[in-house]
This record gives sequence, C-alpha cells and structure tokens, in this order.
Amino acid sequence: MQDMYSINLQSARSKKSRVSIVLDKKWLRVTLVSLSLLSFATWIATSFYFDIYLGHVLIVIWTWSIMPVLWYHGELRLLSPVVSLGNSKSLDDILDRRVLGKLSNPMTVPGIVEVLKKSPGGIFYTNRFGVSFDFITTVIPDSPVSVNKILYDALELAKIHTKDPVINDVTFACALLLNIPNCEYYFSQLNLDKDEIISAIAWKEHQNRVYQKIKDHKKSGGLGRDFSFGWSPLLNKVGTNISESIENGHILHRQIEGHDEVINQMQHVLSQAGRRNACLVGEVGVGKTTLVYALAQRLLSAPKNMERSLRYKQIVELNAATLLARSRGSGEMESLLIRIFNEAIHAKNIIIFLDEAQLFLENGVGSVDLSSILLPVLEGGALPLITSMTDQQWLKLSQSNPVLVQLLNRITVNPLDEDDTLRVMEDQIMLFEGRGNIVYMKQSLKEAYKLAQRFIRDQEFPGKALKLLESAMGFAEDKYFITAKSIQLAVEKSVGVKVQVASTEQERDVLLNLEGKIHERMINQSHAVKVVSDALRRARAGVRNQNKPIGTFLFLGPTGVGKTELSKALADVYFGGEDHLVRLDLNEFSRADDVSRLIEVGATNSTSLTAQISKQPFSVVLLDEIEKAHPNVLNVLLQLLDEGMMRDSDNKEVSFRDAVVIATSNAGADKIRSHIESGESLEQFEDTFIDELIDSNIFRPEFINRFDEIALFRPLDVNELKQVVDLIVNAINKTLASQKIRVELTDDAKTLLANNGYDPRLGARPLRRTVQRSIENIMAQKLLSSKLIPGSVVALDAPEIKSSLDVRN
Amino acid sequence: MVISMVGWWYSRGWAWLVRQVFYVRLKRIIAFFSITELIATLFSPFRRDFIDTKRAPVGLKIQAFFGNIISRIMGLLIRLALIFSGLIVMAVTAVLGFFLIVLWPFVPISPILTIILAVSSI
Repeated sequence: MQDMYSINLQSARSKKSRVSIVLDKKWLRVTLVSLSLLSFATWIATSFYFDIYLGHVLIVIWTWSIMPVLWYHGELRLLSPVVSLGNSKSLDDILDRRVLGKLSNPMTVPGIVEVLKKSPGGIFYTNRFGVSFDFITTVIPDSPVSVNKILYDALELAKIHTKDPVINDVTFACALLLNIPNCEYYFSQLNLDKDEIISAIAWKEHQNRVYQKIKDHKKSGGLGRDFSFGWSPLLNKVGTNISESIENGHILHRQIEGHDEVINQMQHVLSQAGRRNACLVGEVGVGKTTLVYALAQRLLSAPKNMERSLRYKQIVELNAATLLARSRGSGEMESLLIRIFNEAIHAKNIIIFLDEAQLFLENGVGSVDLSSILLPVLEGGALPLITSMTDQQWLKLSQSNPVLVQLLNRITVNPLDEDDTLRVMEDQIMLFEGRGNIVYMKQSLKEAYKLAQRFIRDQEFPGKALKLLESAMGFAEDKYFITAKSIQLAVEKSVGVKVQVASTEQERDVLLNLEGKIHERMINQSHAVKVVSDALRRARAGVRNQNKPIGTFLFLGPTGVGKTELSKALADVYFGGEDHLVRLDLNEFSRADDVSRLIEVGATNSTSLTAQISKQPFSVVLLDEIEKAHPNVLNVLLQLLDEGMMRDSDNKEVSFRDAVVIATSNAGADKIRSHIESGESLEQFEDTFIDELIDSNIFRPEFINRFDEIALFRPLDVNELKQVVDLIVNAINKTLASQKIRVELTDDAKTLLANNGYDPRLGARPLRRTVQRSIENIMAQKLLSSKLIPGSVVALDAPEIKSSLDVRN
Repeated sequence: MVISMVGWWYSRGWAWLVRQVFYVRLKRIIAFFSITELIATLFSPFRRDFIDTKRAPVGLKIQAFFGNIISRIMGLLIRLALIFSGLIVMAVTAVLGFFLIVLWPFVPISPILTIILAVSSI
C-alpha cells in the first residue's frame, strides 16, 4: 500500500505559484516597470519643480508597482521547493510552480489532465511522441485513489529520473501517462515503449538547459581577452575560425557524452609541452569535426579546471582546397603555409585544425604533399595542431610516411552506440527545427537510426543518422511533423529503396495478386511463382528475418522454361522495373581467382556483384548457371545466402538484405523432362530429384540447404507455348499501337509458330525470335505497300505465317 | 500575497539584492573588462608585437630590445587603462548598489513616509 499524498493548494507556496503565473506575463511586468518609472518622474516633477505637495502620493505608486517585479525576479520566477524530493508528504512543497499555480481545488483527474496537456511538458509529449491527452479522462477513473496514485508516481519518477529539485511538468505528465490502464499497449500503438515515455523527462530537461544556455549566451573572456595575443591577418583571410563561429552563435554544439573522453584527451595533449598535436582517427561520420567544435566551445568557456595555456585559444580550420586556390604551384603553397604557421605561432592563441589531413600529406587532385613543412612544426611543438583522418588513411600514411606518423598523437574516435546517437540526434534536431517550421518526433529519430544502420554504409554513427534526419526535412507530415514515415520517404528518395511496410491500397493489391501480375508476363510454372510470391509477401508484411536476404531461391529446370523470365518479372513487379535485376553468369566465374572479380569495389569494377548491389540494394540478384561456378566462388556466395552480407575488396560490408537472390541451374534438366514425360507432377518427384542432385555431387547439401525454397521448372507443352506466342504478339501490338494497327493470329498460326520456335535443347528461348521475325516481316511488307489504314486489324493465318517462315529459311 | 511579498522583502529579498549588487553584477563587470586576464598578462607586449632577435646582429638586438620595451610599456598602459575603467564601473555600481541596499527597507513603508512627508510639508 503506497503512502497517501496530499496537496495543500492554500499553502504559501501554492499562493506564490499562482502569483508567479500572473507575473509570467511579460507585458504585465513591462507595464508595472513603466508605471513605476513614470510615477517616479512625475513625482520628481510635481514635488520639487512645481512644488505640489500631493505629488508625494506618487511615491506609493512608484514603489509598490516595482515591488512585484523585483519579487518575481528574486523569488517567484524560480520558486524553490520548500523541502527536498525525498522528504515531502505534501506535494505543494516540491511541485513545479507552473503546474502548482494552475491546479485548483478539489484535485481531480480531469483537472490534472487539463493543466498538464497545456503545460510545456504536456505539449512536449504531444508533439514529440504523438501522445493525446484528450481520451485520458475516459480511461482513468476520477477518484481520490487515482489522483493519489498519479501524485505518488510523479514523486517516484522525479526521485529517479530528474535533475530538477522539483516535480516538473514533464515528470507529472509522464506519471499521468503511466497511469493509463494497459498503458504499454497504448504506447505500442504509437510505436513506443514505456522506457521511451519515461526518457522524455531527461530529454525535456536537457532541452530546457540548452535553450537556457543559448538565451544566456554571452561573449566569453570580455573586452581585453585577446590583448595578449598577436595579429593573424593572413590566417583570418584563409582559415575558418571555428571559435568565432561558436561565439557568434552560429553553431550549437551538444555535449556528446560518449565522446567526452576524446575531448579530455585532446585538451590534455594540447596543453602538454612537446608534441602538441592531436590526430583524430575514425571513420567518416563518427563526429571528428564535431569534437573539434566541442573542444573550441570548451576553450571559450574556459572552466576553472582548464589549464591556463589553453584558455580562450581559438581553433582555426585550414582547408586544402582554399590554400590550393590561393597559390600557383606547390612552391607558392608551401611559402603560404609557412607564413600562416608563423603567424599562428606568433599569435600564441591559435590552434590549427587540418580536417581531412591526408589532403595536406599526399599529392593528388585537390591535395598537396606538405609533410616537409608539417614535420618541423610537429617535432618542435611550437604550434598546437589538430588533424583528422580515417583509419584507412592513417594506415596508408603509416606506410608512406612512418616518420610523420611517429610524431602524431593518435586519438581514436569510435562510432557512437544507439543511446548516444539518439542523444546527439535529440540535440541536433533543435538546429534543424530552427531552420524550418518543423518538429521531429521521437519515432522519426528511432527510424533514422534503424534505416541509417541498414542502408547507409559509407558513414558511421552518428553522422549517418543525422544525414537522414536532415534529408527528411522536406517530407514533413501535416506540413509540420517529421515522423517515421518522413524518414522512410527520405530514404526511398535518396537511396532509391522501398522501406515502407505495404500501406497503400494499390501496393497491397499488387502483393495480394502477385501471382496474377507475374502471370501477365509469364506462362505457367505456378509452383515456382507461388513460392516466390509467398516469400515476398512475408517480406513486405514485416515478418521475415531481417538479417537475411528477402528471399533466396534456387530455380532448377531446362533451358528456356521461364527461370530468367520469372526473375525479370519479379524485378519489374516488386522493385518497379527490370533495371532492378543484377545478373551474373557464373560460368564466367569458373576459376579460383574469379572470387576477386566478384567482390571488386565500384571504383575498379562497376559491374562486380558487390559494386552493383551497393549502388542498388533493392534488386533481384540473378546468379545464372550456378553449378558452373568455382567452389571458392560458391563459398563466398554461401555467406551471402546465410547472412545477407558480403565483404568487398576494401573489406567493407555490402548488404544483400534487401535483395531477392535467385540462383538458376539446368543441372538434371533431362531427369525433370523424363519425370514429366512419364506423367508425374513436379510435387511428386521434387524431393527425389533433389536427393539425386546431391548424390551426383552437383550441389553440396550445405549449399542446397541455404536456399529458402527450391523451385523446379518443367518443360512447356504446346498449349503453354501457344500462350507464350500470345504474350509475344501482345508485345508486338503495343509497338504497333502508335499506328493504331493490331495483329491477331489464328489458332493454327499459333500452333505453327509454337512448333517452329520450340527447340528441345533451348526450350522456348528461340520462340520469341521466331514469332517476332515472322510477324514483323509480314507487317513491314503490309505497311510499306500502304495496304493498312489506321484502325486496321490484321488477322494472320497459318499459310501466311508458313510462307514467311519458309522465306526466312 | 502582500504579506508574502513584504515578508520576502525584509528577509531573502534583501539578501538577494546584496548578492545581486556585490556578487552577480561585480563578477559580470570583472568578466566584461577581463580584469583577471589583464592582470595576469600586465607586462606582456601589446598584441605580441615582439621582435625575435635570437640570430640577429648585436646592433639589431639593441634596437629590438628597446622596441620590445616600448611594446611592453604600450601593453601595460592599455591594460592599465582598461583595468582602471573596469574599476571605476565597479565602484559606481557598488556605490549605487549600496544606496539601493540602504533604501530597500523603506520601499514597502513608502505610504507611511509619504504621509509624513506630506504632513511635514504643510
């Protein structure tokens, strides 16, 4: 049984809270101050100049109108709690004045809801989390027990989760939300959980502190701060003064908890005698540049525990491109850099920052090797220097210039984990929101993290999540809210991938009728079409294993029965176009060293498997004639099928988790044909056939087992071939539609074409060529002889087709 | 409300005013005029306008010596001027603040004072 809590709304603190709410209105305070000044001036004028004795009455107005304003600033504005959070029974002692001042007797659940939903904390929940307060009065019974439970929870939450000495509005609102019966179900409807609702307390408090910091922003160090430092006119011209940008309020940097250690290390290294340099090494997006900004901010704020030598030091960034643009040739560039460094050394308050330091250490397009100048600077330690580069660049530099690397103090910057990335995002969105009239919801931050992890591979956290958040600015819903859907849209537009769970009616219709859509361009092979369709439906409904490709299929059957056609149909129907098909003929990968060709990076070979899938992750990967690939190649592909991942030649992971992988083989095609000819259905001999394939050592069992489904394709009979002829004729009619002419074939004509176009070895593959050439030849003759007028329907019969085929033969 | 306000006025309010005048305001002035930094670097050359003579001939060294002394004197004078300005502002603030602190208890009783003032004028 929990303790009973009370609120005395007649206590002195409650009364003061109500007064403070009135005085929160700025216009009222301005009016009172104006009245006071006016009274003072009038009193002076009337009492001493005009000598009117009654003017003394104005003293009362002067003094008593200024008193409430001073009282507000001195006490009411930050009305302190009477006791600490742990020692209170009457919550009016510790409740935030902005909530306390609005509560009224008797305390009821609707009364609390009404106050909280209009409070900044309540609005925070509504905007950031999509929580509605309106229905709460209908689900929480209005009774003293409920009120007491809310108060009790608010106090308990405050004790654990808040840094404020009072129960603030967001904590109180959180307690109210947690009292919704079956609240976890309600939160799950919003794609949230209880912990995330509670985490809003820390988020809001942090946001308040940041806003307060911005509000209190002042130039640090005062008028005489830079008197002891030298001039640096050239540096001012060519460099970007990070400290100045921060001082002018152009950059809002957050306290990155996960990176505090790195800032401390930089501070330590730069304050020491000797090699005063810090080289930040980490992947793109880990926040190396942001950390330098954080250090600049810390140097400007100059906390008491900071070494005197570092206080108020300015960090100036040098850009290789700017330096190159200002100089003709490397000789001039060297002399420019020497002058800049001399200026910085002389000024005594400059820390030089070389972002992407490799651009200053190697010759190339947009880069120049200035290591001969940097070496003495690093050795002597006369100029504090910060550099940054990626791991790979560091390794490259270690090989090319080991002496220079020896002089650099390496500080590794690791990517942030999920919690820290979310915290960085919470801060960064304040900047984005400042740029446009938008509000980021919590769900959008979570989605950005999830999708960045999945689709952005050229950066690390938090950079890649922030990139997504920024790109979602143009996809606000209701012109205002950036939601999870906004992030999905941004990913779809920027990466060209489908990430939204099937939502529109049209898309649902496509998924539910996938077989029908595929059969519009493919005859029979119902079993194969069914297994593939089922796999795709599972994927779009969100019930598949996220750590594997969408589906992995092995298509077995003779040549020319529709294996490739089904793959194309899938690319078209599911991914929106046949250009989403990545096709590899594995008979070209029959040697052991062909593995390297498979995994080459895009820069060296844009047609390698990894390069193509990096560019277009949402694709059908068609591995043709897989039985002809070298076992080493198959081993690499095993990992792809298993984990949906491959590593390219740069050892970077390439995801296949959004691809459908189809391997085809015509191994055992003769056996399929003989089974079918003996009257068996595919389902009847499927298992035996696969066992036979394993026994004959064509495929290893562990390879066969990696596929989600194995689909057997059977040879087409004459009737099915006639349907294929129909599909080809339909395609020809689409071409002729611009001339408003149609072709129709008699049944005999179709049979003739089917028999002529079918080859037992090549299946229906020659059929398309036969039909197209035959009909196109006939139509070309008719069109040229002007026998056709728009609107004509040309009926072709068997003799006409036969004569066309004879002529060709 | 009035009792609460007057109660605060004669207790924590008065202490608040003292803190505002002698701590918050004066600290702000010290920071604004960078008095701590100026004292710490009182004899440094002005804006590092300093000639390095490590490898220079003797004649130039003597010339630089006097030049550096002038730079230091300039630095000293400018810093002293700024420190002095800061001290004046601090003094004015302190005096005004002191008057405010003295007048503070009379503000709530201004109606009584007014009556006394009015009666005595008649």
